[in-house]
Amino acid sequence: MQLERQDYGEAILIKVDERRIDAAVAIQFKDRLRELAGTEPARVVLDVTQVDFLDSSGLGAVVAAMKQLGAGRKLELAGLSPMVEKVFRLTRMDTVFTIHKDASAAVVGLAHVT
Amino acid sequence: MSHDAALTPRAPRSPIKITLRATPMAVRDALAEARGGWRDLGLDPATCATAEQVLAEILNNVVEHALPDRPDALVVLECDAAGSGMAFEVRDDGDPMPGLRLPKGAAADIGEDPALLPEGGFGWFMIRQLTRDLSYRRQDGLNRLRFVIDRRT
Repeated sequence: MQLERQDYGEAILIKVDERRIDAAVAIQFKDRLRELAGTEPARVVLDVTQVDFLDSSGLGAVVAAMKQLGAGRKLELAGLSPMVEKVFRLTRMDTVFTIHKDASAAVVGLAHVT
Repeated sequence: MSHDAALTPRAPRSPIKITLRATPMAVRDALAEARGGWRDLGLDPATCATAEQVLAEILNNVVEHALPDRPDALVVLECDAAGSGMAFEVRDDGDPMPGLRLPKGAAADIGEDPALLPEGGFGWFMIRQLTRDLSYRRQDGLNRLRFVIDRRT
């Protein structure tokens, strides 16, 4: 499970370098995300531009990932492909998560911390 | 007039029949094989994406709930895409559906508190939203699930 973290001060961007978040990798995804997200900052943006397939296990892992961030922190999403967007819409999870068009829209105005 | 080989259609391979083991990685491979088969049949990408989504949910359910401790068991998937809809049948010899009926697949309950959000139960809801003529039969020790996905025209 390839995930990459970039820091933007008030937010972190976690880029998913995988085509699929499915039953085969859901637990790995959730665990890796928890490691990378750490305990701060409050905003965590998951960039799923590379992901073209998300099944219900993958969706459950995204929800679990948000919950494990804890109160006061927020998981947002960026770069949903049409089918991933459809899964969020069908299950009404699009009303739960803040969804950005792409990663740059999610961190607009924030400087990349090296 | 010379015969133009490029205009000769490839023999359509329908119905598609795929046999897979009951593991999540085998499900991935089976979905890739199905996608290839649908592409050869010239099905449109939107219909194929819907079919893959539904099939993933169905096959994952079989692996997780009907055959949880039997990774070597075989699951058979058939897809007939010749008509206006793609007709599917999935068979396995695993545990029967509880109560011998399909889960209702109600929409997940989304309240105000994110800490209480459901992490599961999305699968059957999506299956019911994206298919028609969904049916389940338990016969001679086999689970047989059938459904149709309409083709975009």
